[in-house]
Amino acid sequence: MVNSMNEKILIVEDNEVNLDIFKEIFEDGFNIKMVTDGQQALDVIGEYMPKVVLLDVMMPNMDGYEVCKRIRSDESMKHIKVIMVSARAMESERKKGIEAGADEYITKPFNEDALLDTVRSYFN
Amino acid sequence: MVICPYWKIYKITDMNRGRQSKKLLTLGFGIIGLLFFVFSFGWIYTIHDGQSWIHKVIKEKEEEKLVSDLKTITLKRNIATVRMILMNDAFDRDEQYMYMRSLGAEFIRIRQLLEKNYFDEYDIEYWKGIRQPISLGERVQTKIVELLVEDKKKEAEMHVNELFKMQDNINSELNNLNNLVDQKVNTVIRDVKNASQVYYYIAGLTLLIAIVTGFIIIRYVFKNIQKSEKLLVEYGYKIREIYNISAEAGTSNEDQIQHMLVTGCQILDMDHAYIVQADSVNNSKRIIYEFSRGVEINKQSINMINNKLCDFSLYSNNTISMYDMDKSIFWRKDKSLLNDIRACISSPFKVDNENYGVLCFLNGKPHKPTFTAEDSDLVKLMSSWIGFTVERNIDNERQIQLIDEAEKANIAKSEFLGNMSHELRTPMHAILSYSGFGITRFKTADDEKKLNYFIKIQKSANSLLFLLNDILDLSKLQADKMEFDFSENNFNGTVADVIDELSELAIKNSLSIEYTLELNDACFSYDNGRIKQVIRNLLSNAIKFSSKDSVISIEAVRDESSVHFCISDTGVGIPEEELIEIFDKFKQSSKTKTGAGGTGLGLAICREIIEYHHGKIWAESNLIDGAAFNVVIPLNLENVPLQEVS
Repeated sequence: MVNSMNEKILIVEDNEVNLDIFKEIFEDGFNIKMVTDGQQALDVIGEYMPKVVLLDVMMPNMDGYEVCKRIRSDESMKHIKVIMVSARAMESERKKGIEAGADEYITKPFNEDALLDTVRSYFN
Repeated sequence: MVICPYWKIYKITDMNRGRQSKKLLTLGFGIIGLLFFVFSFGWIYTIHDGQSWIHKVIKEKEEEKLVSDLKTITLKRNIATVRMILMNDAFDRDEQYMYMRSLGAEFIRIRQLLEKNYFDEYDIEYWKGIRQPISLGERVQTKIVELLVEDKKKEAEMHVNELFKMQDNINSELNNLNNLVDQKVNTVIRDVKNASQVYYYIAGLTLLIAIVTGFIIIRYVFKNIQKSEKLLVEYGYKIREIYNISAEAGTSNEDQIQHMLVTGCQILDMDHAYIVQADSVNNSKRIIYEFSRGVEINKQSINMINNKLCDFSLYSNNTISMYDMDKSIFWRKDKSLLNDIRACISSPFKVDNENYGVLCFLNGKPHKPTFTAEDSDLVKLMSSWIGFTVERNIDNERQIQLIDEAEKANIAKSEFLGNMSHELRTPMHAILSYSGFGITRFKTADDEKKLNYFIKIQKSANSLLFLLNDILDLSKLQADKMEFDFSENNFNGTVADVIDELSELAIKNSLSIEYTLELNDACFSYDNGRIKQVIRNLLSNAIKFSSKDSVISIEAVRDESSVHFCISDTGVGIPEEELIEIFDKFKQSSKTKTGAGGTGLGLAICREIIEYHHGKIWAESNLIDGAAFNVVIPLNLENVPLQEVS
């Protein structure tokens, strides 16, 4: 088992229920930080420097696509793995997410194990 | 439509050069034919006349000969008489006497012939004068014969001189008669000569006139043909220029119409072109396209002339033109117009088989010498082309609009599907996740945690149900399938019911509700259930988004025609730019989209219900914090037209 304190994940999600679900999945074994909109995510990401960002798309202030683009355009954050997790399941939206620079686009409802596997694969 | 009795003045007379030439040829050759007829008649008449003159001359000559014969007979009788004197034998004398008598009979025959067939009245009178010496001679001859019978030869010889004297008289008289006849013959010949001369002059003149007329006609006709050919070629070029405009590839309809005005000015030699659209409903006109070159014309004059031309052209459904308005009694009425505009030509056109407008060309100078039938045809051609192009343009715009609407509808549909999928997946995700947690952590999780999973599942399933109900309501409303039950209700009661329903939730959130219902007579016709749904939605939003220990206030006032209802809170408020779009489907204010629930359809449903009541609903930002939702419902909805939400 790797040191959970080093496995930092930033969860960006505006829906309380969804936040609760992420917390349930990732609080054991990962160092998680949760924010509720895109702007907050950008505010904390530089200091927190997570390895993986779980990013919702539809959020107030700044949407997930924009956050992803900003991460990709910043040299110091470029290496961060971004997994977009959204209830928007249209193919065009998935494409938009990948084009914005996401490493993975997962649609809700997702399979808990599959998400965990994906996240873990980035830490290994 | 202004009916103008003068319009006929301006109608172009349809000059057809071919027909003109034909007329001229018919007239010319008619004249030549007439001249030849006169010539032939004169010819025949002269021949006939000449023949009668010749007969006259022949007759006179015969008369002359017969008179000479008479002279010879008298001479022969005298000679026979003298011979009788000289003869001694009685037998010979008898023979001579018989000869004398035969001569006498011949004389009488000739005289009778002359008197019957040849002598005119004058001759007869003259003959009476001759008869005397003839009878005297006869008497002398008879005397001599009697003396010879008595054998008085000597005495008979004495009468011979007398006899020859008589003969001289007779000769001289007959000679005179012959001279008279000669004179008549000469007169006849002279008359014939003179008549022939006059005839020759007339015939010559007739021929000359015929030849000159023929030459002039042929020359004119050829010139006309030449002119027609030239015009035809020019006309062809002009039509080609018009055709070229419609064949221009890659130019818009507007540009083509503008180009047509420029070309029209060039080929008609006019300075100003306008397309005037006539609105028959308001009897108004407006210029939709224009082109000007040369001297500028006063705007007022343009409008007046265009209006009049528009009326006349549309009324007559024909081309109207004035090559010089100064010559028109009608235009001259308004002197001020003439200073600017002197010539005009216009033709109406239709769009979708309806009178639409006219194409007008104006000029500051008279159009010399006049407008031709070809000009009229060209203007007609251009105006129908413009009608067709305007129609095409309108069709294009309609098509673009339709495509645009279809595209927008398609986008809206996709967006709706995307949003709905998103909204359904969110609670579904929660249900699946928590039920998954229940299964995977069934053995490890404590009871409290498991209860939490069930509560979350139930909550999410409920919100899923609300969402489905809302979607159903909204689609029913938008498809006009929702059944409304309008009945007389008391608005105070409706509001109070909803407050009662939600007061428990408000207390739970430590909120207080203040309400002022200033409605003395609050009874009017509305759907109680649906209006309750609206108030419930607005009030539950206010409860949901208000911070703890704050106050929600409800006000309702009425005026003569409507009830005004307002719920205001001191919650998170709504940003100014979102005040309108929060009523759209799946739109939630950025400040309220915190996962506190809500489908994003509630306000859209409220708007549909209020619009169905012909009312208005809108949101306002409170000055300090929070938001206010206003609803106005008319008391008598039949009197109020459907309005857009502002």
